[in-house]
Amino acid sequence: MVVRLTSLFALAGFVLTGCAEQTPEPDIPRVETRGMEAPVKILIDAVTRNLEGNRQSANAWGRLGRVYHAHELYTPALACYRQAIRLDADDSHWPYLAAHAASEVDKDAAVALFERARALASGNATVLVAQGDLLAQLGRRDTAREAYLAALDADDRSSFARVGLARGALVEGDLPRARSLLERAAELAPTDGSIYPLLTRVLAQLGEPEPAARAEWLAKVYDTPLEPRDPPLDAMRRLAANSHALASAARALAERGDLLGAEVQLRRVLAIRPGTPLELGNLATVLSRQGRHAEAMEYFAEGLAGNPDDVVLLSHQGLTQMKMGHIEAAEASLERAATLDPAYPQAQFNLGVLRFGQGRHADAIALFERSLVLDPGFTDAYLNLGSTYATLEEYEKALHPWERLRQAQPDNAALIHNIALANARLGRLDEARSDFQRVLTLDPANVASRRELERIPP
Amino acid sequence: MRSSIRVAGVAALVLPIGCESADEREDWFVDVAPELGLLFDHTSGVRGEFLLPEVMGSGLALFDYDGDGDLDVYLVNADSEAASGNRLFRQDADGVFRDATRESGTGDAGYGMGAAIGDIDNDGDLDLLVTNDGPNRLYRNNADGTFSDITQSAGIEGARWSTSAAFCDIDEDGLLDLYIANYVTNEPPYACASGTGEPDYCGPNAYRGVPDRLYRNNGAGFVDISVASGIAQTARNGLGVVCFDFDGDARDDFLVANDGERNQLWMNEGDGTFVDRGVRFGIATNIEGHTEASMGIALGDVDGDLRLDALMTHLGGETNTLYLADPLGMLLDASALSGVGFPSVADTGFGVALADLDQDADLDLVVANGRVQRGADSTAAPGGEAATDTFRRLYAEPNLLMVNNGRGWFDEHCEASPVFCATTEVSRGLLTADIDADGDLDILLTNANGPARLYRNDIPDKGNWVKLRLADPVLNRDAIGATVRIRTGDTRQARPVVHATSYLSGADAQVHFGLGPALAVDEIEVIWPDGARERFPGVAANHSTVIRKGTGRGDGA
Repeated sequence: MVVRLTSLFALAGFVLTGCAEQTPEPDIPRVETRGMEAPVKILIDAVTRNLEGNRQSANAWGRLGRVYHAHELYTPALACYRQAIRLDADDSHWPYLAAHAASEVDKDAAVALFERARALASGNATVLVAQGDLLAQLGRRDTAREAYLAALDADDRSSFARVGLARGALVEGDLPRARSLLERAAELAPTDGSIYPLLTRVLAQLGEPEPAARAEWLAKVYDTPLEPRDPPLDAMRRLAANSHALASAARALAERGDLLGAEVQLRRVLAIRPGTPLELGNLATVLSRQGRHAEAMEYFAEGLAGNPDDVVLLSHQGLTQMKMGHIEAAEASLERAATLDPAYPQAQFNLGVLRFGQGRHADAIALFERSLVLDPGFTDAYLNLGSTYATLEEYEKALHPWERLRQAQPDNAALIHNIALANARLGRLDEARSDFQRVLTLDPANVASRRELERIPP
Repeated sequence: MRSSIRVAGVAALVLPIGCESADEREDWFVDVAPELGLLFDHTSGVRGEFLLPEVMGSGLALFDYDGDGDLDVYLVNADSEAASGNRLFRQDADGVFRDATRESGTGDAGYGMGAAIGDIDNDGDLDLLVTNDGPNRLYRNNADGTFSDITQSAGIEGARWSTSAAFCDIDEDGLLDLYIANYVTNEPPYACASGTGEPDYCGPNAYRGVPDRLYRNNGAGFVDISVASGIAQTARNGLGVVCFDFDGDARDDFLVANDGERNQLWMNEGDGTFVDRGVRFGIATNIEGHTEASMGIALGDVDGDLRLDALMTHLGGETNTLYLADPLGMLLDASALSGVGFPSVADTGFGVALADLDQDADLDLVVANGRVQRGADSTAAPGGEAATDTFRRLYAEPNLLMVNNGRGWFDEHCEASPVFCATTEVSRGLLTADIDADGDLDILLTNANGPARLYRNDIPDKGNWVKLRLADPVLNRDAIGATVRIRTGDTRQARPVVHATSYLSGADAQVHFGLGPALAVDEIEVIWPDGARERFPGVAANHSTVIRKGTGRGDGA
């Protein structure tokens, strides 16, 4: 504890002084680069050289700070940011980034830095939410609440500020307020996985079992917390040149649908070191999704040579083989994946898709149901399960998974179209009409829904 | 980060009270493992390949296997190629531990992870399960100082990467059933790296979770009911498991600490099935709704409301998380409100105990810490450094000691025990128990690639104590799953009766209460595993007592 207090005082003195002329210019923080991956070492060397020629430039100090920060070298990053602050006391980015770096090594210092960033960037909801989160973590509820309220003043659509306030209300036992805040946050950010566990608990405590059960299910469907959009932090993270960060960036790009971007990042990883089976599989999948199946198969083979029992690779390879029309090979890959790990939902799902294509609908249904037991958040499995029943003209059964999914995705036009179609087939024309109209509200260009709506007698 | 002041041994004892200086104050704990013969060095086969099992460490068990009234120690080892495998140390009447591995037949040579204990055949002695990264091992106690390997006949071998395990009675037939937490698929390692690209251990999410297993004890062996019970529905990265009746329906539930995934609270539906209510009860995530890297679990009533709270240890950058039970049985993350959170952020916690170390009638907290990923600014290895030295240099962290102020607020108290806190190692398993039978709680700690430590409790001016052991004369003899409550004046305390606790570890089921200055317990109440309540007359302080079912005043089930 003594060490922590000392550094707090040192930092406070530094922050309050804010007078560059009175402070001797610090040495450039250097790190041992032996053992680092080559691109990281090259980047650090280059940015350091740039700083050596621009020692009075806040940007040069800040850039080295960001490079260190991006590679989890928090202490030298913090030192660089501090010098950037000395040289340019009006730029809010440096104390903000410094606060994040300090959060990893010295949370008391981080509090002071967030305060400074806030003073310079008044009205920035992201800064205020980050400050609130840190204060809440430190148990400083009153100041955390004040930061979240200021964030709401700056951006009244901030779901993150509402979640922060809700946490405080929950701790204080103010359940109605917590509920109100969380329900509004869910309206604003319906896929934020941080909302539903809290909402479930609040509703259960309020003695409302049905809404609690719905929230509990949504917690399973949306199990990943969202993070506020944060350009300075994102820009810093993009400087990471180590292979692990590049592989992570590739996954993020692939999830956003930027397949070419993901491919570039993965090839950069392979230029640094031999790819892991997972990375090779990811590259293969990215290629397959671009329609480059033959290339993809080469990387699947390379990955599976490293681990023949990798069910993720086997499962994705099976999907590619399906797309290539190599049904027997696809069946072999998928059955092997499903047998090796019966608890891997994607393998069950992919095998279900194959069985559907083979006309083995009962098997497909069993596999989609199993994938949903394994992962209640597997939204494509709800869609496919309903579609399989619909193919069998069992519309009542089709509606069950589709209606379940609608609870999580009330604005999914394709899903609502399917539901409307099933209701039309079941003769529930009022419900069908209403849902087709809803589809057209969400997607005015939806020709299929317009055509079906016109078929329903007035 | 914490004080590293070395103390001057017994010199402080002669100082007048109130005048002692920090330098001269006696340390609260002293490592007596070497002098008591508890010589054990854990090895995990570190060879610079950064295989995930190497960094997870191994656990321990504290139990009186030979029925001589003192606690013996079972220490799990990982590297089957090393000279020392698992070891059973028998404590003799002189308080010295002697290696009884060979004579007892418990030297399993698997890649050891954890140990669990329970009287699976209700013959009055404790049997032993060893979990491995690979086939597990079940030893039945023959009551003559030896064990028989009944793994095959019991049907629990498995071949996954198992971690913690818990014996408890899920179907109220008086026989202890078995839950085994499984961690991740043990595939060939991915090449993971630190932020700068230096080789490092992967996090668990580089692998895939493995479903846990649940076995029903039918008296002749164990039947795998993982699928039928619903436990095998989901595959998560299980590390810790405790068994307790969390919703007060007189049926044992399971709380599973998952590493980087939502924790599970498997509620026993009473029909052979379990439903995960972790989200509903608030323990799946922290108060921010974020999953954490949960490792170990401790149960205890930290705020004196007689409801059992749960503490889970976590990765550095996260807090250790204290979940306080509310009147509805919900578990509210009170890490910040209790003081537990902030001091724990810097380090990675594994083994954990809530125990009244200073015997002032509230539960204190001890945590075994050690990294799983390189230090943020770790430098390259010096030339010629041995792999195990590199391991210790990169992953060692100080342990944590926190003291309860009696109202559920915890203060870091490492300055009282530099020996426990500042002996920086890669600590993993941790149990507290009165190992030297002097009435206070000592700490037994395991380290990954390091020695076992037995920290004798030398806290000065401790309060009084009682130790209570429950006994069911017929079934589930140690009354696993019961709750013991005591009243001393206006002070009430509660303790769960559990074997499975902490991280990869199995504990003696005797419960210990600190009494402060009180000279007697006024009243004892036991809620037995079947829900029956009995009250028993008070007992004098500083004694151990056995409470037998059916001999008290019943309040009905």
